[in-house]
Amino acid sequence: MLTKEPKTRTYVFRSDVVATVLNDGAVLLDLETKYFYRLNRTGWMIAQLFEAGTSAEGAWQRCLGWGSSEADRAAVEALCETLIGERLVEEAPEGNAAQVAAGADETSNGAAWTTPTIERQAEPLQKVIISAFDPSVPLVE
Amino acid sequence: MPSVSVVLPAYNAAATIGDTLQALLGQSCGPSDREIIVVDNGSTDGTPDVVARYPGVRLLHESTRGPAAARNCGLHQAAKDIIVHLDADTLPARTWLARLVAPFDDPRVVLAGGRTLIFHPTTPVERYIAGAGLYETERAITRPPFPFVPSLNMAVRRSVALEVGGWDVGLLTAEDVDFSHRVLKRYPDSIAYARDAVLFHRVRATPEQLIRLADSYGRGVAAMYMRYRDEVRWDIVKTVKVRGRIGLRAIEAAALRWGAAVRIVPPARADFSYCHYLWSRHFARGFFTYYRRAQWEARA
Repeated sequence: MLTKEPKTRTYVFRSDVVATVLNDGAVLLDLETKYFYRLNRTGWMIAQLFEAGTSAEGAWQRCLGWGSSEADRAAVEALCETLIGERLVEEAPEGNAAQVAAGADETSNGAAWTTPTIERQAEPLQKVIISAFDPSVPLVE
Repeated sequence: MPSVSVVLPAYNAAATIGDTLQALLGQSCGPSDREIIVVDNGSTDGTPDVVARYPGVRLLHESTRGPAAARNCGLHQAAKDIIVHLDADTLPARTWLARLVAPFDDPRVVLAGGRTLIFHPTTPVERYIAGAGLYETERAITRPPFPFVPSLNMAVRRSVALEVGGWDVGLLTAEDVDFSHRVLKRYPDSIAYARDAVLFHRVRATPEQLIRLADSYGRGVAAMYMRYRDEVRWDIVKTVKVRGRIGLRAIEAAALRWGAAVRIVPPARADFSYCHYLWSRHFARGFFTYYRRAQWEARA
């Protein structure tokens, strides 16, 4: 929770969290837990800041530049809390100050500000069920 | 970092190719010297119109049907050192391209495959495809007797692709198995697995589609056995083994479905087993249908 974590602490994506960009946002996959997270366009703009490293406060400051208002603050903080709470991001090494993420600005170009959302898929990606008889799929060897 | 031509064959892919191109254009790192080529294979659903919305993407047209012909068209028009292939229903992760071509820093590597994961599987069939790892490069590159890199997540040196004669347009399925085989015959131990090159495959499959897919894959493998029969032989022992496996899988599927009905087996497990049986049965049917006919034609 942000109330327990300093809002100025810098976080970056964990190395085994991969992102893919869609027309209407992006999807994150945690390769460790195998959970997908779907972000809308604004959610992705914010999440993208964590590629280079940012803090919750830093992310909020950038959102102000993208047209958000004080009313959106809770939603932005909730998104940052989710990223931190789900361990999609980790604390950046000490001395690694937040950098400017140019990609986020590219994503924001021309995009209207909407309330950022992040949604976790109900089930993890792969739950490999082993066959009692023969787990191997290849039939012709 | 080498220069890269991304070649994307497309056939009636209007619903998905926009996201694929968006994900390609949104790569966070990777070779700066790169081009993206889409080869439309006679789409009738407006695929070229969707592609035209993405500046910097080159659109080519290939009238000969099949992904092999489309990839050959791209191969001959591409100008860069490494040819990267993906399908029009895939979503590359932000770092995919950089990770996929990284193994080519080693001059011995001529063919590389990335890690393919199923995107948001929702139905039992999609969960089966994801859980069974049907598209997993990690398994395919070590799979006897024809190790291969699936073409939906592949990179190859352009000079080598041209040297082996490109893709065989006579094959409508397993063309990547054939292509990989020819490359590996000429350059043994030249294959690399890029585990961090993550690409999502948007499989949307019903049981009927699973059956068709299994049948076509079976035919593709049979084509390989016929084509390379001097290297790999099919025999009665293998036939008995396959028939036995299908029988066991049928029994297993029936038992687990009964178990799910009386609530002592999780339904997901029963579904997986049933899909496994369907896959096995129809893969074998496709295989034997093609193999017997091809043998008969060869004798005649």
